[in-house]
Amino acid sequence: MTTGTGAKQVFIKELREFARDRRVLQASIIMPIFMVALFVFIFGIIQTSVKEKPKVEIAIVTPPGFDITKFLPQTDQDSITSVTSWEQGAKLVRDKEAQLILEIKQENGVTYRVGYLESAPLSAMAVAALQNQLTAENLKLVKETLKENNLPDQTDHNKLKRENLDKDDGLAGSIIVSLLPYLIVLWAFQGGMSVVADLVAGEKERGTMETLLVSPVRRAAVALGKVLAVMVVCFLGSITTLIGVFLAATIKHPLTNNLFPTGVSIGLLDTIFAIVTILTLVAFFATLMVTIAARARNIREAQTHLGLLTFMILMPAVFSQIIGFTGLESATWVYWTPVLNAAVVLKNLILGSATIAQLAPVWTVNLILAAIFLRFAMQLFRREEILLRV
Amino acid sequence: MVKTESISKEFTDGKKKILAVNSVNFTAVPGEIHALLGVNGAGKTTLLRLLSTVIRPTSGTATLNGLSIENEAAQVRQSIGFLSTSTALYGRLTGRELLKYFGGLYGFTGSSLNDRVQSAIAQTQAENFCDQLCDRMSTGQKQRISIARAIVHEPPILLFDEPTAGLDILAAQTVLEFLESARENQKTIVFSTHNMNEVERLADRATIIHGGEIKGFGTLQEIKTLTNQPTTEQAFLSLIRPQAVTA
Repeated sequence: MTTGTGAKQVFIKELREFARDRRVLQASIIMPIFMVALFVFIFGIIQTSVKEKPKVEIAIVTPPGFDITKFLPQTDQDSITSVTSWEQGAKLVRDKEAQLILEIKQENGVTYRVGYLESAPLSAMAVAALQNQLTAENLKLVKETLKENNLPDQTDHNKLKRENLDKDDGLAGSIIVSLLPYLIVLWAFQGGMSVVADLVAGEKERGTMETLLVSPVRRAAVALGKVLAVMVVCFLGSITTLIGVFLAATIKHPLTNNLFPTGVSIGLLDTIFAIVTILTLVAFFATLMVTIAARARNIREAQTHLGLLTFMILMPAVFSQIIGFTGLESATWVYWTPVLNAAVVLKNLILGSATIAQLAPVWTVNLILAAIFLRFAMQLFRREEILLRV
Repeated sequence: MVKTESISKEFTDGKKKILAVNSVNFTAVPGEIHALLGVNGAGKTTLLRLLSTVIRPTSGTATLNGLSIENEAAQVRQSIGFLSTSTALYGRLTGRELLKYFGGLYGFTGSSLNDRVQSAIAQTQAENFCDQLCDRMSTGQKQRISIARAIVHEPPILLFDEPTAGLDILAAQTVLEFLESARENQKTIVFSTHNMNEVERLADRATIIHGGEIKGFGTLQEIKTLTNQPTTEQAFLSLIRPQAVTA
């Protein structure tokens, strides 16, 4: 019997068992969809909150007879509370009843003193907004003065026009873009983890491995068949995540409308490239997990080792979410770093900005690692002290 | 025919070396049930694993129907039916699916595979439960499916490791009856046990193994005569604990 024929038989048998295993259903289909739904819900709420202007309460100490509406015309007057002293206003800020305290003094000109909480984002944002308003008021004053003196107004000489270059279709405008690659990587790994310990270490523990080794099937075929089976579960986990996001985008709901303002669409070529990227990634994950599970004496030992591995695998995936803030997104080494490269490239594919120069190293690294670990796994399946120890 | 030639197996446990089987010689012929009799840890399972090619000998060798366990391992596997101590079934497969899986691994396809599976089911009288998931079977039913798996490719040699361990009296009876019928079909049968009743009922010849070494070999009558003991049990004890019996 050839290695290919034997591997195919082991693979089909494993899939048949998976189809009857609730854990596979949970880890590869139910949980990824549930997690996507949960994230969409949470981020939908956050996005909705951010889009609505937060109510800012301001405590103000003014000199007697000072007309506050003249100085803060854009501010909702209902949100202003007059207090008699700085201390009284500061207490309101510390008690979170106001976001900032503004003290105005009229001596030689007008001076402002602002008290806020650096640790409270809304308080810090209120200060920035106040600064903008005062700048606008100052500019208005300058313009009036220039006009009164018949002088040319050059205050609008330098103009800044903001333009968002994100694609106006697909997921470009969505907060989910930074999260989706992480979820895909997470479920590619978690899907496989749910079955691999039982698939390899469990066979030793139950004694079925011994009966398998007595059959004429080659040991390399057993290893390959199991790797292919784990790949299927890993792939299911990540693809379900992707499908979950697309489903969430098609549901017309105020929460999802904010997350997917222009719906979801990824080009055909980008979709194919994303699937190839996921396939190479799950090949790497599956071979690595089978190797670790094969070394373990029993299911519990395999689960412990795989649990520790989870942190090592997911750290780069987590980093992929914040790499945009570091300016490292286009660095060459990013595309040669396992897991991180896949997550970044998946994000670029979703945005429609991935290039072959980025994809090639990702596929190369994943396939090389998959080949190395597959070889390790096959070697372990030939070692009697590994296969029979429990 | 099964023939071992000074076969030995040494395991390494850290820096410690354990000689599990030490230069064992015995022969089992077709139409014979050969018992490997020994206490737990005597080396019976290791010896059967060596014969089934799951592990390789440290020194010495063995031939099964003239095939070397070292140089012709693949052919040896085609000619043996191995039953391990545990029932070792896949819980989420039905009995029939499991038999088809193993039949496929032995190279059978299509109608010949179906015929083999049906024949194994009939020989083990598993018709009534072979379409249930293995997880839902009783221990006795599982053991019958295990035996069916071992014979699905109709091997001439059967290597059974404590086949009645953990079985109730009815299930054990089924296994013993199967071994008797296999003997009638001219199979070469080597089975390990520490149950004297089974040995007395089934064994044509026995090898008494202790500490990895052979302590006695022959028909039960020969062993009793050799040790000058009236029963198989006393003969066995006199070989593995000579002082205790003498006292």
